[in-house]
Amino acid sequence: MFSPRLRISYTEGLPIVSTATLVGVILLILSGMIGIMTVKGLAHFWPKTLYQVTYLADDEEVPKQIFASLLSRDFVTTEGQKRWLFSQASLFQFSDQQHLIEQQQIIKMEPLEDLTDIQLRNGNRVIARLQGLVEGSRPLPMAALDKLTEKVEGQVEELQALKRGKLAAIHMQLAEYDRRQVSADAPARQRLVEEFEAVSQTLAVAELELSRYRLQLLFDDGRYHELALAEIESLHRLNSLTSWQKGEHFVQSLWVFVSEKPKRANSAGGVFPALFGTVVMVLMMTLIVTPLGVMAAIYLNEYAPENGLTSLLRVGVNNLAGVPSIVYGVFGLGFFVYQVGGNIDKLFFSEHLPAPTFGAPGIFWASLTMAMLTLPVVIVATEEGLRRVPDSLRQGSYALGATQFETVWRTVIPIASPGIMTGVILAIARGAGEVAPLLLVGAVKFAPSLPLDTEFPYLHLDRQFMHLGVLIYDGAFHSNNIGHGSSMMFASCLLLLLVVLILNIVAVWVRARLRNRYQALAR
Amino acid sequence: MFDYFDLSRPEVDLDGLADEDIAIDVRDLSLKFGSKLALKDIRMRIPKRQITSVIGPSGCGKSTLLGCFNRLNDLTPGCEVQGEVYINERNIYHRKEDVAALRSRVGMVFQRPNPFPMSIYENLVYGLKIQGIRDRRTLDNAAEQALRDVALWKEVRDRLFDSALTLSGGQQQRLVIARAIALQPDILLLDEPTSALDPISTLTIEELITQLKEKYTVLIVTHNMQQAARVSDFTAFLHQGSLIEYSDTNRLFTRPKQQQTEEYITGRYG
Ligand SMILES: Nc1ncnc2c1ncn2[C@@H]1O[C@H](COP(=O)(O)OP(=O)(O)OP(=O)(O)O)[C@@H](O)[C@H]1O
Ligand SMILES: [Mg+2]
Repeated sequence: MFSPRLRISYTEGLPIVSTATLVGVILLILSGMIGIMTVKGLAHFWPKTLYQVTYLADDEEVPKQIFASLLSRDFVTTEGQKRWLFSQASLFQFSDQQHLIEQQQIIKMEPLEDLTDIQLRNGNRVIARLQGLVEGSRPLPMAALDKLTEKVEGQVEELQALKRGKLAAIHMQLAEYDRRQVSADAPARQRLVEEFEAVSQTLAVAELELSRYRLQLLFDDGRYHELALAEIESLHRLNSLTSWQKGEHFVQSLWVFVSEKPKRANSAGGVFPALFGTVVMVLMMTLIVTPLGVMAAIYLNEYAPENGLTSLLRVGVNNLAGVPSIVYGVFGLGFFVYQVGGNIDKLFFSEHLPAPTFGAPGIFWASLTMAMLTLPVVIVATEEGLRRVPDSLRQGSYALGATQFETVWRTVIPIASPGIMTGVILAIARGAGEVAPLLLVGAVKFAPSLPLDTEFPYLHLDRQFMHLGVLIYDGAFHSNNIGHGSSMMFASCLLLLLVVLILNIVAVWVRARLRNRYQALAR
Repeated sequence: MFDYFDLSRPEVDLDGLADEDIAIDVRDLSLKFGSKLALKDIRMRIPKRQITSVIGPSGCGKSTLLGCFNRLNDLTPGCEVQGEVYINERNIYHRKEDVAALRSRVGMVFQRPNPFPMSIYENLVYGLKIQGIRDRRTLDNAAEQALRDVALWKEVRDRLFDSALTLSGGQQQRLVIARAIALQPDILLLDEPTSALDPISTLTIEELITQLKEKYTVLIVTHNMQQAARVSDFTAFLHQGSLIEYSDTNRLFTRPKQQQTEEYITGRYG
């Protein structure tokens, strides 16, 4: 039985089998992770059927009725009863209401044709039965709805432009007069006031005009309400959509998700500011960490004498990579924000004190902190790249009259550039996913404005910013919004994965080009 | 072996040469790598616009000697030099010597071709760009002239912007020679330039070397005694860091003065 032949094949086979198993397990974990993110994340955008749910709650005698969408069938009580999670939305509540209803208690679930999902301009969402369309008191045919919505939308935008433009300008002018203490009966001022009133008048008339177009809605508590078309941002009769229309709706909500601001405490709307903040922060971090890391690695590999101190430095760098990220956060807050930022404020922005400018968390300090965090990665990878540059090339450069600096700059760095890019790739991957330190140095759940805009000086280094990771973190703790909040979380997570992936693909592409260009032979 | 000599050429006595015919004057040069003495009291006058070969057993210090003339040994940690080397009446080991400038005047070609992993053109103009030359036409002309000098122009004129690593070994070696002469140095140091090449490429390079003599002072290290005999005017024999014999090539190979030399060139050296 223990023939030598068998034993040999066993010892040879074992490493192969275990490697294969390991690879299999890793691939399984990876695909499982991406699979869950994709399914759960994308489910957030697929239109959900709206139901009229009739159920009998435990301590009630008469059945209740709600209009809701079904979020999940996966909840189970301690007694093993299945419970379904519904999300109800009516005009008279601030946010979506979650209902966990035992399966047995559900009497009826009807996907009524006229149930409509309505997104209001104020951010709220309602589900109601669409009963009719009126102009004043004159009923209009339902078929006119789409056209009318478009028309109303155009006019609402016009009015808003008027408010933001002309009215705001008059306001500013009046405020200016106030500051200069122009008396109330000065002719210029009076003319302005008159103009102001005229414009307001026009606006009021136009708004009244607009508000004549109304939708007649029936709510789940039996109330009847007429809602002005002007208050509605979007309206979807989800139950009567064809598959194609559902697809369109899916793409549309995906687009809203990546391109719009969040609403209702990050549980609705889009995540654009977070996406933008993440990308800007990562790019700034890369711009800071790359030169620093490359210079440090070049010093260590090309200039530093080979002695104990240098090895000590190297060990130090390697150990920095293992420091918990929150420590960097604390360091960033204590050193960059309070120390450096505080002193910058004292020196350059003293007129604003005690309100801090740079002495408070902001995107620059966050990028700098993340640069510190990813510095060891870049140093180690760059040094690896530098070590691979054959000495014969350095000698060749010196022999042509180059100084050490010229040799490093013209020969060593270009040839080591793929190695440098490897470091940058690793830094991006690490920097984009790290949340803990960011919470201390500038990332917030909600920031009113973007760190980069069209307003001078365009890049606002002192502003706080939103970050996908922070949004995910926040979404995970949204207790009263289990369903929706968490599906936002998955969607944000998917987006974060995508951002890292895209940034990485770009970096890998750059590296491949550099490799092609400077394929150094290991000689 | 005697077929290689041009016996019609009159023998030249090195001691009889005037100072202005001397390119490198080595005076009592000793070199240590840490505690190891690699060169001992070398005294040598290398004539201008002539080809001088350096022969000797492996590890005797040939490369080290060459590395003294462009101070490339300086890069080796623990290297210590005593004595003087005069080039153009200046001691290059003077502490105020501009080493980078020196290296642009003393070109070197290494035992293994080491083109930069960049385009052929970039390789050729590397030294010139370091000298601060930016004018495109000057660079182009210099590159073309250098390639013509090493008889590589016809082969690569259509692919100047391809990677230098796509060239064959022999072409690469000619390219690095071209790279060195693009700077129009006074002196060219060749460290076993043909040891990695096939016989045909070797011949091409040997022909090239004999032509280079018209413009440059050439020093060539070689293990191949036929090669030394074929191409060089003067030959130096090194043994364990000492200069055993140095004279006209014809004389050294036909009537060596030292017994060690004779043993080495006749192959009796252990
Ligand atoms: N970087 C160095 N550190 C210490 N010793 C060295 C170093 N380089 C060369 N040596 C020593 O100096 C001596 C001369 O070396 P060199 O390379 O000049 O020999 P060579 O004559 O060129 O030999 P080969 O024909 O094999 O190329 C050798 O004994 C070698 O061990
Ligand atoms: Mg050698």
